[in-house]
Formats: sequence, structure tokens, C-alpha cells
Amino acid sequence: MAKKNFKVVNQPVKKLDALPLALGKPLFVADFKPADALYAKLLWSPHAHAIIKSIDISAAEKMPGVHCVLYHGNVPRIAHTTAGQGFPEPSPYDTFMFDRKVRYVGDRVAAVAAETPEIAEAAVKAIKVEYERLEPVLSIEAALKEGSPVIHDEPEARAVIPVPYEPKKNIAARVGMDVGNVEQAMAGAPYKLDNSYYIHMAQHCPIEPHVTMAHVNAEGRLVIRTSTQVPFHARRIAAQTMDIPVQQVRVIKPRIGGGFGAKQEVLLEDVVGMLAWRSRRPVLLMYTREEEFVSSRTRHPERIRVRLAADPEGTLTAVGLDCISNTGAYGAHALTVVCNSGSKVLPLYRAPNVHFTGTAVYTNLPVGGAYRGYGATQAAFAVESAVDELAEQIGVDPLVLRSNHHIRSGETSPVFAALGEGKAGVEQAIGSCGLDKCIRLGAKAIGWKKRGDWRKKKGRYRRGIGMCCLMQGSSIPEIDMGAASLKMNEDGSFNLLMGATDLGTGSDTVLAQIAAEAIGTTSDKILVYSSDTDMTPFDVGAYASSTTYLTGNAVLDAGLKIKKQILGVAAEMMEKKPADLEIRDAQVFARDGSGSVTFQDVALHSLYAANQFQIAAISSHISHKSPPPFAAHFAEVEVDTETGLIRVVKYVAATDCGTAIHPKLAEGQVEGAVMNGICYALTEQYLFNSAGRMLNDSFLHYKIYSMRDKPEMVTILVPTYEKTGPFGAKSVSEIGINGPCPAIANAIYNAVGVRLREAPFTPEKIWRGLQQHNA
Amino acid sequence: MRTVEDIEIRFPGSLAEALAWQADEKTRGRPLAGGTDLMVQWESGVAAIPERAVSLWGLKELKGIRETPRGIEIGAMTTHTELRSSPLVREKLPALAAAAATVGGRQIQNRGTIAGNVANASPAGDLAPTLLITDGLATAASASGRRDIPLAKLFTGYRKLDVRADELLVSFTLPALPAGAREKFHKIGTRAAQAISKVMGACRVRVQNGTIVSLAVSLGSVAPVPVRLPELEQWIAGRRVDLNLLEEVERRASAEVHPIDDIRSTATYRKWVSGRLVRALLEA
Repeated sequence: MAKKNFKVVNQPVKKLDALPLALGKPLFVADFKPADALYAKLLWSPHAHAIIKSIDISAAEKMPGVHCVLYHGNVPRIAHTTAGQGFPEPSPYDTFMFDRKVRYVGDRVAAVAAETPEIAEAAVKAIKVEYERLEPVLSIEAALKEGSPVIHDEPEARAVIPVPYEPKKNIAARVGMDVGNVEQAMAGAPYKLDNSYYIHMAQHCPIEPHVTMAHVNAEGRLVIRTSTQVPFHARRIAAQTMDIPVQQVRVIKPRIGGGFGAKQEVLLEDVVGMLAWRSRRPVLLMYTREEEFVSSRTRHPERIRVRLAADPEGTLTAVGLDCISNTGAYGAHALTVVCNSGSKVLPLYRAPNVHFTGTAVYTNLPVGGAYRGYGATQAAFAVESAVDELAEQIGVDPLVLRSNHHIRSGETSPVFAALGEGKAGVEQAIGSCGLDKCIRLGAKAIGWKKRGDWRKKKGRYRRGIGMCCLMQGSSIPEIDMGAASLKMNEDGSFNLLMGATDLGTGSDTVLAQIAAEAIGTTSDKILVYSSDTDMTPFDVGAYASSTTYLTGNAVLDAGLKIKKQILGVAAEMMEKKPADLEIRDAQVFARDGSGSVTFQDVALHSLYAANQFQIAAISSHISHKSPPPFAAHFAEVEVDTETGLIRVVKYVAATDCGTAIHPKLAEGQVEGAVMNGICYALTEQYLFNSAGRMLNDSFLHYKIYSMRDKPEMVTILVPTYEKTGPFGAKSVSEIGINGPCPAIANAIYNAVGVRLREAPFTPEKIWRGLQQHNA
Repeated sequence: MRTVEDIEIRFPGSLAEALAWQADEKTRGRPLAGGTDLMVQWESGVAAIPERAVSLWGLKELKGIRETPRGIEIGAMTTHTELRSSPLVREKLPALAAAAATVGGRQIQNRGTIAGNVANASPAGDLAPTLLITDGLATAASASGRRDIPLAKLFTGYRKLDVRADELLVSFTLPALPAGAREKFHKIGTRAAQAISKVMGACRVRVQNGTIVSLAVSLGSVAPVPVRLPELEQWIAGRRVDLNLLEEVERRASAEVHPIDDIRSTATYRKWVSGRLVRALLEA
């Protein structure tokens, strides 16, 4: 890669919102609560599957202080999806604001808005509901069984794009592709495996649970302040569900306390909007942690069959992947998550025969949704475990097997064209790929060479090293759009307005850096405002690892347009041609050294002096590629053979995200994702009773890692230059979570010879594995 | 709906005043020590919110660690931080010091107390096994006098103690580690800090010339109350420590406990790991 002479990007500039956040200034949704706001509470279904035979809200309505009670009988019945995706959505329309049927413990039954949280709570309890219980469907296997109860039997349930949708069979989505013939390749192969893996449900656990506030303003428009990743989709879907025109709705996204995909869901905007619309009072709804676990969204669990085959030389000849995901009670992201299990994993290794099927099934369990990694996390666990298993069969170092087969710069994969999001994909050749270097540097940092065979290890505590390779994407090609607008102020500062959604990721800072670099100023001169559907241009929002890559390109383009206008004004002021001028450090210089003007001079001239106009630009960007970031992860674990306890001793993540626009924030994304992934691999899990009720809906019994659990962590950014990205950037936010499950599974095997194909890796599973050894 | 804020919290000026309040049903309140268990239980609705609570936190009479002829006497309001940093406890009751250091996080250790941990009477209470192995006493006081309760008889059932409503736990007297003996504590949880144990245990063992003279071993989270393993203790006395013995210990310890499945673990794993744990406790 040619060394670029960056001034603002690729530098750890000050994060724009760091100081007010550190000072605890009012920045989040609930901080803006007006004194006259009502508090909303929801009534949840106690049953996993039931018909609401009758519901009596009269006692609740009569309670003093109660202003509004909503249930299926008094709101519009509009089938929609909460998935918060582009229009028309790839997720089925199978959800209503309230329905006559409940489909999981924690499904919505009714909502109340009242003067105090206590009154709201009491009113919720005063609603009398009579249920007719139906048999619940609590697993993938039960959902697919012949004659299984149908979860979505309502006539409105439908797919709104041409994709397979078979609710009568509890199937929310199907997708697949074939290149060559995996069966045939398997038949004659000297090395092959056909294994099944299971990866579990988990929650995003944002520090700020879902929170939404709405009021009707003086003009009679509905203003929704909400903790969302997708303000524009939230506006569209809230209007759709409430059956009011989009122009009646304004959505504002303030600071967000983390989303990780959970807040791509348009979960509360419709009901809070409706409560405010009906009561004509501001209404605030804040999820509790328990509600966030049960009635928010989760990672889709998947059962995955992997088939691999290699020829006598150890060259991979076939990769087959069959994924069945559990989307829970509703089909939010059902199709696209399982599709990404193929499209974000299969292109990584070259093989002449490739097979993929993805099926998403309905069950009466909490609803799946977008979660960092988005299907790739699930499939990477299965495939990267299987690759290690095949390497052992062949008798080759798993690092070498990966190095020999992974995709390289200039190459393509038939998977890219075959699998899109609800339609065919987009063919693309890999531009930048630093995976070889990631593998090399990562192996060195972990000490790959010292890795021995588990059969030779002795003693109570045994250490092992495992690795995996990963890819993701950067935005959804030819679907996602991001736009940005820039204008110049009279002191030489600039307003950057974007629909792009900083949810704690630092994207406001990253995009300000891109604007500053493009214009030729510093990032502290860029005043960022995001996101507000009345004020900022459209953006699909923060998902699919898109903001830096996609919106970044729109910002870059707007910045270049601004630069051109500045040069034009300066040329007029300096009586030169624009081509004879150059911009450095917020000043315009004549190349011949004859003079200079500052940005402030230019701005004042453009606004007050002559030929006045507003220096401003707006740009939109769509991508025709989704360049994958790549990573190699390495884990060293220590297994206590006395107790089965697993400790991650050291974790190395080497990531190629192109140019890291803000290296510190990029490292933070990697480290956050890795910690997120380690506790997903080891301690996080949903426990249900036989009636489908979650048993551990609090941090007391659902354990995410604390700082004291953090292993030694080495984060390596491997710079490459992605030509299609802004200043060479690709995405970085999701990829990191995909590594810990396979890297730790492979490390556990290397330590004690126990191959865990079901996550999470609890001490008990290790123990059962050790028992089998001894038997 | 009543909340934690509705509780009337009373602060006695002395132990005598607290005992006087507790003697009368009309003035009696829920004893409140550091609050690290109760506040969570009240807030989450696990425990009923009482009318009144009596804060024992500031009572000087319930503080302090001293050596007496009967053993180390530890005041009820001694915090985990004080336990783990006391030279006396570290030397004479090393398992207790080790257990105190694993309770919750540092903030909880600063606030949580020995009596609170015991009175919460959770089978997963971290300190209980380390107290049980000392064959010590708990002392309860009421307006009418004091009463020593052997620790072996203190835990009467799931979340139940042999302490009357008019009584308060005031101290624990724990015989120090005898010469030639050693103690160990081990805990198996889900993560490094602030995790309730799956299984935890402690032992006090005296070995002379390779032969076990005496063993006291106790496990938590394997029964409704923290337990000793009397069958194993009796069987092992006088036996030589070798590999065969350790294997037999593992088998016997595992057979002697009857744990249950719950949210943190399964009975099968607990039964197995109990054996491993006891074996590990005995290994030097």
C-alpha cells in the first residue's frame, strides 16, 4: 500500500462527544423528559402461545392518573415488520402493534400511559386478560415437526418481496445456492467431514436499554426521541404502523448508550407514538433490564451442518453449509441473518464445490434480530471449527490449511453474486486483503510455534492455542444509501448534517475526520449533527457495518464539493484560477507563493462581500461493493481438568479494516467485539423453563464479562487501502465478535482434546468431554 | 406499591437499644447489616419489603477482631475487606480470609459483613464453609441475654437460621488453625468477580508423617444449607495420603453430596465437581 499523507484521518483525534459524556451532561433520550411527561408501561404475555379470548381494560382506564390504554381492540391492525430495514423489507410482515394472539412469554398485550410509573404499573396489573393456551413450540426441531402448531396462522402474514415464506410450516425464510456438486465431491474424497454444530441465543446487553419518548408538537406533528440505530426507518415504520402520513412524524436520535443491532429494531416507537398521539401528552417508555432480555431482540440461535472435503493433496474440494436459524416468535431479520451465515463466511475459502441452504423457523421464544456479526458469528463458529477438524484429519497445521485456501486480492467468489439480501447478490472482486499479514502477525504474537499436541500435555491445568480466520462486509451493496450535507459558517467552521447514527461507536468523530481531511481543515472545525429526520439528509442508519464506508463516501464527496467552492471563492478574491490554488491547514495558498486567504476570509467574502452564496453541498452514496474486512484471531486458553473451568489467558486479534480512520476507535471496536464474543462463547446463555419462560433475565444470572475477566489482549490493525472506501477505509465494527467462539473452541481442543460443537463452552461440557476420553 | 424508599430505617445508638427494639414486636425491624444482599432482594421483589429495618452498621459493639482463649472472636459487623486484610485472620483462619477476598467485588467487600453473609443463609454464601470447618460458635444476643450456637447447628434449612426474631447475631468465635494443620478455600463460579458460586468449599486438615490426623471439610451450593461431610471425615482419619487415597476421597465426597439442578449449574456437574473440589482441597 502506498503511504498516504493523511493529516486528519488515520489519527486519534479527540472524540467529539467525549467531554460532555464524561461530564454526564444531559445527552440521552430520558434526559430530555419534560416535566409533564407520562410514563408508559407494557403488559406482557405470561404464556408462550395463546389466544387472547377477552381483555377488559375498563378498571385500568378508570384509575386516576391513567391517560391512555392501548390493546388490539383500539389500535390499527397493520401487519408490518419491526426489523428496521430498507423498504420494502426482506423480513416478513408478521407483527402488529397489538395482536389477538400472543406468541412468546414477553409478547405485547397492552400498554398504559399514566402520570407516574407506579400508576402505570398498577394499571397494567388491573387489565384483565383471559387466555386460551395453545401448545408452545420451543425448539427448531419442534417447529419443523410434521403437525406442529402453526405460530403465524393470521391471514395477513406475508413476505413483501419475492422470497420463500411458508408460515403454515413455521418457516419464516429459506435461501440457498449451489456451485458444482458437494455430494459428489464428498463421495470420492479421501478427507472429509460432516458435522453438526449448535450456537446459542444471546442478548446485546446495551448499557442503555431501549427507551423512547414522544410528544405531539404545537403544529400537531408527532416528535419521537428514541434510542435507535435507524431514525429514518423508525419514522417510516412508526407512521406505517400508526396509519398516519410520514410527514406527520419527526424522529430525533440523541446520544445512544449502545445498540449492537438491538436498536435496529423499531420496537417501541409505534406504541409510544400512539400513546402520545392519543393522550396528547409527552410519553416516556424505558425498558427495564428484564424487559430488554425478554421483550427486545436476541441473536438467532442456529443449528449448522458443515460438510468439508479435500483431495489427496489436502486441497479443499467442497464446502457445504446448511443453517437452520431460530427466529423466535417473529421473523425480524429471519431471512437476512441466515443468508449472511452463508454470504459472510463461505467466500473466505476457495473450493470448486459450494453448497448452502439457510432456513429460519418460527418458535414461541424471544425474537431474533440484528446482532453484531449478523449470522456470520454463527456460521464462523461452525466452519472455523470444522476447518480445524479437517486439518487434523489431513495432518496439516490448521494455520497452513487456512493460508493455502483463503481468498486474496483480485479474486472473487461465486457466493457474492449468488447471495444478496432478499435478492441476488452483487458480484465483486476482492480489492484489499491483508489476511496473510493478519495471520503472520497474529501467529507471532500468540506464539503459534509453541503450540503442541494435546495428547502430550499433562497436569491439572492444560493450555491450548486456537485460531480462526474471519471476514465480514462493509454495507449492503446496491441497497443501502447514506447522505451528508455540509455548509460553511462565517468563521470557517462547517456544519455536517447526517442521518448516519452514532450509537456510541464514534461515527460522528470518524465522519468529521473524513470531512476535515477532504476540505483541508481540522476535525474540531466540523460541527456534527446526527440524526434528525426533519434536519438531516436520509441515511439507512447504523447497521451492516456501513457507516464509515458508506456514509463516509457521501461525506468525502460533499467535502470535495465544498473544497471546490472554497477554491472558487478564493480564486475570485485572489484574482487567480482555482487550479493555481491549494488548500492547507484551513487556508488557501497561491501555488506561486503570491498570497493566501484563510477559510474565515473566504466564508466572510462568500456571505457578505460579493456574489454572495452559501458554500454548501449535499451528497449521497450507494455502494456497488461490500468490501470485506478480514481478521485472524488467536486464543490461548487454560483448562482446569479438575473443574472443567476455562480461562482465556491471551487473545490476539489482527484485523485488516483498510485505513483505520480513527485508530483508537477502531481498536476499541475490535476489543469491545472480542470481549463481547468471549463471554458469548463461555458464559452467556438463555435458560428457559418447559413453558418457555426465561429463567435468568438479569445480570445476576446472565453473566457478561467484567474488566476483571479480561484476558491479556493484543490488538493489531493491519493497514491496507481499499480503493472504493473513503481514504481507503473498510468496516471494523462487527467482524471482531465472530472470532472468540471458534478460536476458543479450537484452543480448548488443543488443550485437552475435547471438541465442543455446542456453544457456550461451560465447564460441565468440558467435563463431559473429559469423561468420554477416560471411558 | 411499597418500595425500598418506604422502609423506615432506624439507627440504634447502642446494641442495648437495638436489642430493646427487637424484643418488642411493635418496634422490631428487619436487621440490616451492609445491605449488599437485602437491598438487591428488596429491589428485585425476591424478598418482601418490611415496614421497618434496624441498621446495625454503625454499632461499635459489633466491630472488631480479637484473639480469645476460645478462638478468634469476630464482631458481626466485620466487613469482608476487614476479614481479608486482617493479619490475625490471614494467619489463624486463612480459608476465611481467602473466602472473604472472593465475595462480590471490592465495593461489596467494603460493605458486606460476616453476619450479613451468614444471616442471609444462602446455600451459596461464600463464608459459611470456612466457618463450619472451624467447629466454632456463633453468639446471638437478645434483651434477656446471650446464647452460643455451635455453627454446626446454626443453619437449620434453606435460608433458615437457629436465631429468634428477638435475637441478633453479635459475634463468631472460631478456633484458630492448630499447629501442623492447614486450610484451603476454593470457589467455582461463572466469571472472575461478582458471580454466585456453582460450588464452593473449604477444608481444615492436619497431616502428620503423611497420615491424616483429622479432616474438616465443608461444601456450599450442594444442599439447602452449607454442609460438612462427616462420613468422609470419619473414614479418612488415620489414613495415609497417597494417590489411591485421593481417588477414593474424590469418589466418596461425590457420593456424599446430593445437589440439585438450578440456574447456575446441574446436579450432575455439581456432584462430580464436589469430588474434584474436595480432592483438590486435600492436595498440598
